[in-house]
Amino acid sequence: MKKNEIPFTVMSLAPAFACILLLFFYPIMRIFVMSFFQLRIVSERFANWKFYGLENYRFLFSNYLFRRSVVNMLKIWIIGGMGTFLFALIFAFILSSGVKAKGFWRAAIFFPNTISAVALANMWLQYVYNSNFGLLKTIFTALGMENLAAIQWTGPDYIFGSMLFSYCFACTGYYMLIFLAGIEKIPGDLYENAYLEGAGKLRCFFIITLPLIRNVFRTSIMLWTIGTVNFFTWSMLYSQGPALGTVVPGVYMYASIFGNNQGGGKLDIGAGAGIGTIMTLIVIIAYAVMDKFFPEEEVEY
Amino acid sequence: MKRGFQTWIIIGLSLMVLFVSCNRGKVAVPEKESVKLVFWSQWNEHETQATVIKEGIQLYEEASGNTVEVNWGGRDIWTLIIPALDAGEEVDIFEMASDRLKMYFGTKYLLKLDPYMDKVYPLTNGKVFKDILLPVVNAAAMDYWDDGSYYFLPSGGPTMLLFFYNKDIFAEAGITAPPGDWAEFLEVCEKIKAAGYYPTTIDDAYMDYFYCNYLEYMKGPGWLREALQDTTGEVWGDPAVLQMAEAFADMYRKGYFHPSSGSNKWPAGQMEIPLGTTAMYICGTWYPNEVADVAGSDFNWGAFPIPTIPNALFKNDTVQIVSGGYCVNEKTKHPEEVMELLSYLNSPQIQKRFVEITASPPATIDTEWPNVLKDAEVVFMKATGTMEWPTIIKEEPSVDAVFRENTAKLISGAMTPSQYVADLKAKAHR
Repeated sequence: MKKNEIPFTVMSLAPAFACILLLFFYPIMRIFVMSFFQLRIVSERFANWKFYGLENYRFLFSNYLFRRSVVNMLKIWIIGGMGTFLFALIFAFILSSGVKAKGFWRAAIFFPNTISAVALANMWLQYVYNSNFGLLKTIFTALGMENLAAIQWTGPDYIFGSMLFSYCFACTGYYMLIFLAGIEKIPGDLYENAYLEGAGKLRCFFIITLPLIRNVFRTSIMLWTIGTVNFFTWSMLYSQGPALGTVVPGVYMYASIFGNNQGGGKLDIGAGAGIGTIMTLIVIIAYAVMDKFFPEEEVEY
Repeated sequence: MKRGFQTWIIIGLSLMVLFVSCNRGKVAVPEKESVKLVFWSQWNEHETQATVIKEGIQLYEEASGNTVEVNWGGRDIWTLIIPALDAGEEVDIFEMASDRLKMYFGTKYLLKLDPYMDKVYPLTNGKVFKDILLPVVNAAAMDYWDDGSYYFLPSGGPTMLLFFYNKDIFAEAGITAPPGDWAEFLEVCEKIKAAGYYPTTIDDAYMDYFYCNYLEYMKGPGWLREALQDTTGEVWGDPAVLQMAEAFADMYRKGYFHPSSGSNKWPAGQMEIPLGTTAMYICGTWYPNEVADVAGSDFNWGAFPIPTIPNALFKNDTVQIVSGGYCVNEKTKHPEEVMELLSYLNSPQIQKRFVEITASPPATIDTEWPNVLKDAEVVFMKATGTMEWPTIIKEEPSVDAVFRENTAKLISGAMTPSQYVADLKAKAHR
């Protein structure tokens, strides 16, 4: 860069940099500092904060509800991730194989992703999973499968699985589109050469498609990780406040900072800030691990 | 020409003198400035309570010339109001439930209303404001804080926790009177079951009306609050907790719970009563209004207090109440106007509309209670004491979450009483 271009460059970048500092770094640093204090309310003046050391973190890690929230989040990441990616890849593979009415199927699979989570969750909770007249109860009863018809899908034993299934149902279309875009970038002559040499479609998928969408896969894992750490809406809709079956760190953090909007709920701003700090660290660590063990590679066709 | 010009000057000056003298005595008075009040309501605009509040506001606006800007934020304002006030948001009035107000506010942000309660307002029928309100409404306001001042104003009569029931099912089952104690309650359940109905059910949202309610009656709110401070979990080994678990497990074994009780997502459970499958539901006095669309106007509602529990400190003549009310921002620039608005909303005229439209107990004396709450009125008049609303355990979310899940498992037969207690002790440790 020429010397006389520096002032112009700085001036151009300054507003964006100021926004990042104010809207990104400042809140993160404030939350981090807050996690070492006790506050009466989230908007409390700094002069009234009481230093608490590491006590908030000690409370969180000794607290069954927080530990359970982390376990639930990990289950969403691993089990939900595997399920969502598996079906997204399968749908992307089928849609890229020359299937008829590709546009219709692509729209139909993506459609749940366009609907508000509130509407979707209520549909699953009050209709599909309802144990008196719900869709599953009706179908299983009609098929004579009384044991399955009697399952309480929103009871403590099944609520997590029910929530995860409905969430993955909503997300699959989004990841399918990402994978499909990556697959469609691969030149067709690579597949033609493979077919000429006797490879079938499935073998081509494993030896050509998967390796060449490696970077797309990497990006999707990061997106899924961030989405899992920020998991909130579905958990709040499936339970009235922090419930063992559905709680995730985001929900516990919200309850700690704002209380339970059904009434009651002690505020613990410092602990809530501690959860926020831990969530931020999880994303940073996940990104660092991804960069180390699954780095982005340049792909040449 | 000079003479003609002089003539016109004289005529002009004469007209001016005439004009000024005619207007002498008519001193220009500046018009009273219209004031805008900002009101954050805990109701959503589609709710019946909002309909009545709008009527009260309209009456006030027409009489005073002031305007009221309402934020129909729903219950979300409970969590948003403090950050909003701290950020300098101009809010003159907001609504809150008293238990939550006490926990999060104390007396901060709240204007003391005492001077205004001794004033006469247009719709108070010549009486001072506090004299048109039920004694329990004034008491709820004055009991809020140690100094006995008015920091909030209940917006209606007391909200009570009761068992609401279908009187037609009771009649069909041959039950002539609601139960007074736990043994009678079990007899009533057996008769209802024999008549082919489910005795009771619950929703996830109100599960604490079972466990917190039972323990409050057994040991009192003070014990419960102290127990929540215990970090070892051992306090939940108290015999009261085991007695409670055994009571609910006994009800499950005898088939007194609707099969979906442990998995109901609100409002699925509470709809079972107006749908006619289930006889009783424990809830607040808002319940009949909340299910009115399904129940219809001819549903035969009954209500009875929580049956006296064996070995309990408190009997069924103690009722749990909570008050929702209006709070005035201590920084409001228009306290007089605000209080006049509240006098409209708490006037006999508007309270009657609350009764008609929302079927809620009124705040004013001599206002008739709604038909669906006639039994509730009798319970209230006979009550000898009041107790805190059963949400105390919610003050410790990590303990509440365990109680909630374990109670759901208990009433669906997935957990035994001893497992309930052991699991609670282990998971409440922190």
